[in-house]
This record gives sequence, C-alpha cells and structure tokens, in this order.
Amino acid sequence: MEIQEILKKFKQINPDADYTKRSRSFIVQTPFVVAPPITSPWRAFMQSLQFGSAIALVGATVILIVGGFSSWRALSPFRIASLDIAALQAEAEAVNMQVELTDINYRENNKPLIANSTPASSSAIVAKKTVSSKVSEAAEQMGLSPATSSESISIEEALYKLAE
Amino acid sequence: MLDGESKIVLKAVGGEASAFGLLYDHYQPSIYRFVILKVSRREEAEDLTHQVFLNAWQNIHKYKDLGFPFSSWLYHIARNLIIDHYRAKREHLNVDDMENELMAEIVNLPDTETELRMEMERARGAIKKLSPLHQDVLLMRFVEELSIRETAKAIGKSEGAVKVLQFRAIEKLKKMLK
Repeated sequence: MEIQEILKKFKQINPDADYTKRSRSFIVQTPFVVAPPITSPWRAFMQSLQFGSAIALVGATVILIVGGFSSWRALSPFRIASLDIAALQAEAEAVNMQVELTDINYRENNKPLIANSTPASSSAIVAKKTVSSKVSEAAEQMGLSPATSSESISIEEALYKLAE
Repeated sequence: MLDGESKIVLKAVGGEASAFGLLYDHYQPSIYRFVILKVSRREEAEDLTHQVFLNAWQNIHKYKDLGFPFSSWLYHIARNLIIDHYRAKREHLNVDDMENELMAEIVNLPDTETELRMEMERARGAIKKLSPLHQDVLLMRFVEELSIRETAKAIGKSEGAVKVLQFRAIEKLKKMLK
C-alpha cells in the first residue's frame, strides 16, 4: 500500500464524544475577551500622558540636534578655538606677512649675448637664459602676473591670490 | 473549509460564542488528530486540543481574515503549544508508554484489518523519527488533506518550501519502511 494511502487511514482517529462535549461547553461559556474601553478619566489621563511624554521626548531630541551646537558654544566654558571665527580673523590680520614677488622676466626679448664672452660662459648664459625662459613660460601658464618690483599686499589679497 | 466560513469567523471575532462553537465543531477532530499523532498520549492530546481552542477563543478579537482558512491559524496555535509541551515535559517523557497508547487508539479503529493496523503502526513509528517540520507537513497534507497554501500558512513557510519538505519527508519515510 502506498504511504499516502496509509497516512489517510489515520483520519479515522477521532476524539472521545464526552470529552468533546465537555470541552466545547467550557470554551463557549468562557467570557469573550475585548480590549477594555476607556471609561475612567484617570485611565484617559494616563494614556494621554504616555502619548504626551513621547511627543515631548521627540521634540527635545530634535531641538538638541538642531540647536545643540550654538547653545553649547554660548553656554560652555570651554571655547573651542577652531570654532571662534572672529578670533581667527583677528589673529590672521595680526600676522605680518609680506609677500615679495620676485622679478620674473618672462618676456625674454632676444637680447644679444655679451660679445667677449668665452664659449663656456656664453653657453652658461645661454643655459641660464633657457632656464629663465622656461620658468617664465611656466609662470605665464600658471597665470602669474609679471611683477616688476616687490610689493607688500594685505593678507586678504595674498589669500585671494593663493586661492586662485 | 467550512461553508460561509468568512461570515462565521466575522461573527466569532465580534464575540458570538455560537459562531465560534460552529468553528469548534468543524475543526476540533482535525486538531485532535494532529495533536495525538504528535504527542501519542490521549490525555495530553485532549488537554492540548482543549487549550488550542481556548486560546483561539480568547484571542479571536485579534484575528484578521487575510484570505487564509481559519484552520491555518488553529494549526499554528497547535504547533506552538506542542513545542511548549515538549519543552516542559522533556524530562518526563517515556516513549514506550506514548507509543502503546497511540497503538491502542489505532487498534480500536473500526473497519481496520490486521494487516492495515500493522502498516499503520509501522508508519506511525517511522513518522516519529522524522523532524518535527517533516512530521507536520506529512500530517497536514496527507492525514488532514490541507492544501499546500494552507499548510504553508500554518507552519510559517513558503509554498515552495512546503513542496520540498513534503518530497523529502516522503522519501525518508519510504526508505525507513522498506
């Protein structure tokens, strides 16, 4: 006989009739369970308190996250120097920084070589001119303006030029 | 599935004891059979079956009709109670006594020949050696003749998983009964 057919034979097993009757009677007489309604004002108040507490907690968390840093800066005795922008600016202005832009002769005209120069020195001069012309070209490509004299500029201008 | 089950369940959810009584009458034999084939002792099967329907009645206000038969929910409750039962009774189990009681049930079945009884006893012994999940699938599918969908809902698995479990359970059973 196939296993499935044998298993179907187990369907003949049934519970005892007396047991079924007693069990059914007991169960249907058991009171039906429902969620208790809110009849008491105290109960209603407690439930609203729970909800209100939850809302208050969420609001406090949001305020802390959004406004926390500015409050901390105002109230905290420990000032973090990196966050004090005004102090940083004053400090930067106090630095006496003079930027000297050296003379860059980037437009090299064809200047005649010194007549009496020895071959070695003339080749050195040529090498020097070649190097300086290359430096000038590089400077021109970087957008550096040809400075004819050294000059001192303010910190903002220096930072601006460096940022460019 | 009971005729007009959706309406009856709706009334039971609303608190009508008579509606729940109809559901009890229809499903109690199946749940009892499922339980006794798992625990093998009549008294424990009766207690557990009673507890299944008591729990169902006390929690029916939470029941939501999601398109599955009511029986799936009952089998789900039954499975959980059986698991708790085994956890609680593990130290006091006597397998021999359990089997004798169930065999007595089978022997007392009407219209069963000796050969069939022997086959049923062997099958019952082999089923007991399967994993609980395989046992559940076999009992639900072939004893209680639930659909794959109903079985899947009762054991909390997908329909594909039920098919695989069923195939493997049958194969194992065949090997044991050879």
